Amino acid sequence: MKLRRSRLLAGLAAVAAAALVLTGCSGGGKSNTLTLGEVPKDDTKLTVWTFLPDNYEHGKEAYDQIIAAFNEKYPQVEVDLVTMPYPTYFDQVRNAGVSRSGPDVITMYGGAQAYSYRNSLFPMQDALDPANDIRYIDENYSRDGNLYIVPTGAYGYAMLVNQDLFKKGGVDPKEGLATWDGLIQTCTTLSGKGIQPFASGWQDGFQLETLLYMISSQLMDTETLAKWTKGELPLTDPLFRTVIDRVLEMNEAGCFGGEEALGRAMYDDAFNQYYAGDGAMFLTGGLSTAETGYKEQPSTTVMPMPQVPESKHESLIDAGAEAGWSVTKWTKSPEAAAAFANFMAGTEAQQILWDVANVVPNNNAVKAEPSTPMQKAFVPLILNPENHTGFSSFPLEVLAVVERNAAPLVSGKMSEDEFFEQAVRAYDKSS
Amino acid sequence: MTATAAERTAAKDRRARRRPRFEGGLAGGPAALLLLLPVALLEIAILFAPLLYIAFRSLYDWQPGGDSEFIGFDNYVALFTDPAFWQVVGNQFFYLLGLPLWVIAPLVVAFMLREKVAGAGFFRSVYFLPAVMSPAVVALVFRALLSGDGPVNALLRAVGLGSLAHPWLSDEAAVKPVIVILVLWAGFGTGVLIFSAALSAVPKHLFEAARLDGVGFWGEFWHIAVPSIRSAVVLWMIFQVISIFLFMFSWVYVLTRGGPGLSSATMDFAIYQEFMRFGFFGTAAAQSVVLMLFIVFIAALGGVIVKLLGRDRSRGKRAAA
Repeated sequence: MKLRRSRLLAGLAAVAAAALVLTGCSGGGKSNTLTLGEVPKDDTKLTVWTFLPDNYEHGKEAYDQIIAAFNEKYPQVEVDLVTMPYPTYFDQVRNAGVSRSGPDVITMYGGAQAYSYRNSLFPMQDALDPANDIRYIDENYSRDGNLYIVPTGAYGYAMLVNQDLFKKGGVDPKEGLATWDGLIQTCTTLSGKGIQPFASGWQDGFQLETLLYMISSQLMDTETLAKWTKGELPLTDPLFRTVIDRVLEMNEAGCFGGEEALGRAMYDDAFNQYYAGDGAMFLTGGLSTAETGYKEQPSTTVMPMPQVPESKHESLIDAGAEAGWSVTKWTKSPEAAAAFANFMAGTEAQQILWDVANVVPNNNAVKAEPSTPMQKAFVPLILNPENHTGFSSFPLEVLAVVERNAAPLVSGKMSEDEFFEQAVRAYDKSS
Repeated sequence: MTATAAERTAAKDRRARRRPRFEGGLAGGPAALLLLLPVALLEIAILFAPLLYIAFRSLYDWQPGGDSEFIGFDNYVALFTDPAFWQVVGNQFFYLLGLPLWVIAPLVVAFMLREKVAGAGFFRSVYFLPAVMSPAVVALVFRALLSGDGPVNALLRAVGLGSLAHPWLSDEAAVKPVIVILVLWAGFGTGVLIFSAALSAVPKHLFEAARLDGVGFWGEFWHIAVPSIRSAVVLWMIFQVISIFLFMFSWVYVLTRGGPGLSSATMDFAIYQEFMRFGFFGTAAAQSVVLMLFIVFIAALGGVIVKLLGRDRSRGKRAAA
């Protein structure tokens, strides 16, 4: 009996010890704010994780030059730039966040994406270098009122237009794509002549996401966008229904081709479809895609998607920061890390990125003089002061629902009500 | 009725023989326990501590690096009231419908290879080949084979069966059966190997006697082979069931990413999504606990079945004696 009791006590002690250990591991990191400070003179090393260099033809070259320029300014800081493939990049960041170790600086998207990693990142609003006059700050705030990235670069969603295929279809693109009704009519005309209007791939849902960003930005005025950014605009707001209605209208007009695109092809396939001359239009956000499109289909030009009838704007395209840079909470060199993030938003780095890798700057002091036909067509669209984006405020959970239900929705296998029911549930879960 | 002296001596001997084994264990207890301690500690550290930790965390709004609030069973409530979770559980049970196929197909082939088949070893090696290939690589190959304009559909069209060509991995109705067949392909060789080993232990004269009595191929299979290796069959079944709950991730991740919609998602894939993509650490922990309970339940059920089968067999033997 004595023995049993002592065993019982030992068991209880073990459980209590385990509970204590577990409680001790509960983590209590506070959301410290990072302020802009002087970089210490001591030698230090920064590990930087990014997927960006692989996005551009001369990405590595551009980043080598940027690091060299950074080292000229901060010779005591050694930068170890680790380029990772995009498909697994955020998994690596998540793992680093859970283990509280890894990079000092990371590439990150703002808004909802950064919010999902908020326990790993320093708020940057008090660490922004006032010398940098950069765009896209407001829409990259997360719903908790913190800015977790220093936004850099610029993208803008527009349409690549194969003018040869338009000619073949008997449609003048400037006239046909001037209004929303014109776009719908163009789809009907082109598909009637056996030309697929939009190079499309719906299986992974990225095409629906793209349209969601493009159209919802048109439907949001400044106030609505501010509410959306703060998480105060529910997904039940009618504007989101309008977006989906307009996408379904495009589908009914034959904009996206047949079942091949609706169920089987991925968005990646759509790039190749356009490059091969099998689609008259293609939705893209990047200048480098436009350059490739032009190389493969020399009659390519870039045009804005026409405003939907409910648009609050005249000529807006969905445009914002290409990405941004965040400082991790476990960094041992927060000042150096913040200096690197700010350097990426500075004139020197952005000029290199524009000159070498064709990345449109978001620093207003950088002179981005368009020289190629695609730059001439695309850059003015991206720099249109009317532009904004609600892209970064879509919670990841909602995007997952959009991605997995895109093909069923567009092919009619899922009702709009069911689609929204799932999306709203995901939105509620995320908040 | 009294025991004879010889019987008493024999009984005493038996007790004496038994006692040292028991007492020896106790006598050598502290030393033996000391020797076992590192292994026990490792076991606890590697296996039980993480499980306990995850179970503990499932009761929190777990925010690694942030403030984790204790929320009781809220994560479980959220999970059980989420239709997506039940769809994933439904998928998991749909995959279990493949169980008879995953068991019977390798069993039949192992039984056939038991006969004097030329090159039986070669065939076993060929069948086993998929087991040593990375599921991620195999899944990539199958994704290419089964794509809309891939070789499988091209072949179907070439032989005039174009109406059967299908978007195999993006059709909600087709995707799960396709995965069931791929899992059969992947595990087939291991099954053949295990069943071949088990069948080699069955006395040949049983089959010879049956043949003399005019029993055919299927008669031998159902009435001699299967009952003789039923423990191996049950073991393989349990292994397959556990695999369906634990080892489907790479297939689903590479082939379909759980889609279209959620129609091919498994629990391990859903946990990955919750944890890695969305950062819902608490619900991911709760889902992990539920998955673990499923597996424990199934393993226990398998154990009961094995026990019952064993009892039936010993009863049968006693009856025959």
